[in-house]
Amino acid sequence: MKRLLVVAVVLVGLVAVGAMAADEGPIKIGVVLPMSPPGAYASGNPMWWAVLQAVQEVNEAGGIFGREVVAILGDTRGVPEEARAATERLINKDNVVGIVGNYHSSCALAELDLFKNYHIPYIGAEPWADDVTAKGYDEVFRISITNSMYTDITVDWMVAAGFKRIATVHEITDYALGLEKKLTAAWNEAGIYSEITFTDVKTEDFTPTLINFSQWDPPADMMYGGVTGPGAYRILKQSYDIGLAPSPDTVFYGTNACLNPEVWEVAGEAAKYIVVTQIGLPPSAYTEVTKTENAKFQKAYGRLMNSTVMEGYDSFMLMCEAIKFAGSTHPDAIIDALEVMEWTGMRGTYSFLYGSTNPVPEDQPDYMWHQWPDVSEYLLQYTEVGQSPEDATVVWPPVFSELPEGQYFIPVPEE
Amino acid sequence: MEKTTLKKLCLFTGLLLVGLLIPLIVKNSYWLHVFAMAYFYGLIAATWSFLDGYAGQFSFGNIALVVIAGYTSGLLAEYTGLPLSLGMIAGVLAAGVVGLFIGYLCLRFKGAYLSLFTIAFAEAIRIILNTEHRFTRGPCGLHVEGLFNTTSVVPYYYLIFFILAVSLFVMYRMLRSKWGLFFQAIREDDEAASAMGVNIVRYKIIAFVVSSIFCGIGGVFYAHFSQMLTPNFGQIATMGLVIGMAVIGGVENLIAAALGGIIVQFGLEWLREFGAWRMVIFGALLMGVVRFARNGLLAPMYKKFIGEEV
Amino acid sequence: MYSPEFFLMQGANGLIMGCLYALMALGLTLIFSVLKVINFAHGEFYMIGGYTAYFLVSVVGGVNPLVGVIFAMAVLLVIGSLFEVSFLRPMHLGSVDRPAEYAILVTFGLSFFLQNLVLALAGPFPHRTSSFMAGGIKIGVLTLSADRLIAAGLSLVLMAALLLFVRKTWTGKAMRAVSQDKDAASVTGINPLSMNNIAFAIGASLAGASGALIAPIFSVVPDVGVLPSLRAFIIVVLGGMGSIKGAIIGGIVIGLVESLGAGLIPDPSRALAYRELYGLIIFVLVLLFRPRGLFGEAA
Repeated sequence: MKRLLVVAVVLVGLVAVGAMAADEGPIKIGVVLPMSPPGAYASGNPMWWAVLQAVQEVNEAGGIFGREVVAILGDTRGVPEEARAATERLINKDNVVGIVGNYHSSCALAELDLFKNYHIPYIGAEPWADDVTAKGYDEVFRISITNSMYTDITVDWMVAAGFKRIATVHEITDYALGLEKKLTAAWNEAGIYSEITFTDVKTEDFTPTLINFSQWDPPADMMYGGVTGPGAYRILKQSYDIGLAPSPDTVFYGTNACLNPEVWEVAGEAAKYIVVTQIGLPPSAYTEVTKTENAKFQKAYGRLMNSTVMEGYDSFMLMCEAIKFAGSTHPDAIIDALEVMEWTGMRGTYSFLYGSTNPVPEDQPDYMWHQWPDVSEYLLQYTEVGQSPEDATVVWPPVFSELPEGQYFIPVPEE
Repeated sequence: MEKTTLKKLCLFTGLLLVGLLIPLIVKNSYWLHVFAMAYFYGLIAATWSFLDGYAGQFSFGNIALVVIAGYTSGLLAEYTGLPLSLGMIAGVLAAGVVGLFIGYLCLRFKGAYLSLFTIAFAEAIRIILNTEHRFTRGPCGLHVEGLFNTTSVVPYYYLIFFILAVSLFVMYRMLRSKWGLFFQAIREDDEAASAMGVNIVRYKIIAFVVSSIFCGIGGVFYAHFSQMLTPNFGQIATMGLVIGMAVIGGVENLIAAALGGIIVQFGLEWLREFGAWRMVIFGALLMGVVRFARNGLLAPMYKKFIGEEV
Repeated sequence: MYSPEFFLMQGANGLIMGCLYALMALGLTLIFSVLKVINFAHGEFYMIGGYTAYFLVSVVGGVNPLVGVIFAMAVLLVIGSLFEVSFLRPMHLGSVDRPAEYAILVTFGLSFFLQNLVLALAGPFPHRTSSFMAGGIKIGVLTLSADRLIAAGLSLVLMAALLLFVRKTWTGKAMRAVSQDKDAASVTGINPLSMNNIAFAIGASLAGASGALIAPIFSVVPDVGVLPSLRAFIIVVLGGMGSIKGAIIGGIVIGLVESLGAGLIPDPSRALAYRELYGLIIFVLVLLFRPRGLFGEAA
């Protein structure tokens, strides 16, 4: 009997040591982003820099449970098959405890099955397609806006501001296609006339289509430039050069690529008076975290973080915080933690309203599962050439707007 | 049995055995996934070797045919109630038919004109698949059902390994028959071949069709394995990669080309270690290998071992 | 329906774009005619031309954009020459079994390498040099962007200069001799290897000039050369490989077809998106009826 006890103690001791050994070493978190062509590397790269900033901070504060935190990059190149390969590698070769990231919705959607099958928690940084969370996978969370939420807020503005004839160009990419369907439906419902022109995202010259738009009689009151990347600046400049928009008759609406300083370098004075969406808090509502992290980033990289870049920082930090809250790197513990915790990051205070303990009710859309419900979106308008987005005028929503009541945008003055 | 034949038999049996045993040794599903994709690329590289290395038709259309087959199978599954197997057969047939069409059009082209004509074709396919997104789902990706009711990679591994082995065998037999001689004659000098009575029209088209059918088989596998198709997979850079694989292996040797595909695919995955410099290093390596191993890396080794060409 | 001014505007835009395309295609056809090589890195030469001009004009600063173009051409002359002698010369020394595959592959590798190297070094964000001249220029009833007009004009000047070079100078004629018959040329004392190098360098610098001219109009990113590269291939084969006249006319045809197609086709969900396809369709049709291209040499 005594011998049995000794053996049992020794066995338990070995198992405990074995388990501890398995829990030693750095905590690895995977990051999937488009870092090289043909992906949107101009977004993926700064998001990665933001992740590195987060990694440095976490480790300077002593890591998690005294262990170093390591971010491992998987370059999706914007191709879903590569995204799957990169994710497989992170999960099965690098043995990460969680994954954050994605800019491209198509890549995120291709990876979902892997998160489910291998039971790895995932926080989506910037994939907008509703389906990412609408599928209701336990492992999948999202802190970015969804196509539907974006459409609701943006169309509210368009209706309030009285736009009736919108000339649009949409790029043929995953997020834009999903968005276009919702926008068109919402515009139809609101009685807004629009003509949908699709374009390849790499198109250099939009002029033929813009010339067509400039023939509209009566003229369009808004030019919706639904192109991201370098195309966003080109379409703006070309639209301005032929006198279409921004003009006294026509407002130019640009994607969040227009939040970058490149908009001034490439489009120049064409960018004055454009309206741009920012998915995040307006400067008047910045948290302490927003201010400190943004200043730090600007010091290191010479540019401010836009909302997409902030999502890189926030998604990684949130994963770290979830591990701390859970007290463990076990996937179930992390998932449970994410479902109940709250954490204030750069874009607000994160929490996930609906999850396994609080299922999505019938009257709420499916995508609200594990979706951050308080994603803030605001619209800004540049009023000076070379202006930083932080100095631009906030025009929507009314609670943040800096315009007098009843005014929803600043019209371009007549020459 | 002749010595070279014996050596070949040993080599092929050896490779076959290794391939069959790998999933028993390698349990990590990431590596099995890489193997499966490597076999896929090996197959496409071999089809290119068949078409260019042997028949002298420098076509850029192989990946486009892969994509056509994949989308045919995927779209049929998405929009019709057709059982998967029929859809897959339709995919392969579609690739074969398009290959026939391309082969026929390419009869009048040689050298650079043929290459650029096929580039135009491949690009046109990509643009159409992208722009008709309401139908194909374009860059959002067409979701394609898997073939096995399991999350394990192992059945896919064995499937593509089997496909690769059988395809290589069939192509090899074709090349050892009089077809192979005709192809070579056409490659060397098609006018002289024609003067000597070789029906160059017939054999050029056969070369295209055979190559296309095997691309189609690969395409159908790829669609149901990766379970998501996007038109960008068919971009010219992917085809360039395949050509690189065949050339690095040894373009005039079917097996070497296939092995080239497998090795380059592993190389690409390994290069992920280098993070942001991955593709820079790949480009430099490609230039370096092509520059200093001008006739492929594997073909000379194979020749030395076997003592003759394939 | 469409007013005559509308047609004129679309047509003028197409013509201007065509001149810009033709310059780059010219470089490619020159390389092919002398070296018999399809240069898959041509788009990257264009891209580097754009970045070089940007670097000189906007980063170093205080320099006229025209000087930027000349600087870009000089840099590409050097890069082209170095690459040719290091990687393409072995082809012409007879040590490569399959020269066609070799050339395509080694230039492909260069393309991957350059795109990602520039991404790693210059960063992912787009850049634009300052315009040659801001604003628009009125010509009759049309208002054309000054930038584009000047760039197109400069392209024409460069193309004319190349034509003069090829027809009137000894080196130009020597290059033509090599392109027609390498062995006969070497018998007459021309060194085909030097001519190869010069042709490749000039071809690269024309692509660089094209990039430097277009950079102020469209901005540069590391993969900005991918689309123009494909387009240059189409133009070169359309015009007939090795034909300078073919490259120029082919460029203008493609420019017009793209712009008119994108502007005039009544289906907005497809008109602009299929922009690149129109050129491909014309290309395929022309080749089917004239397999050597518009002005290519007959067998």
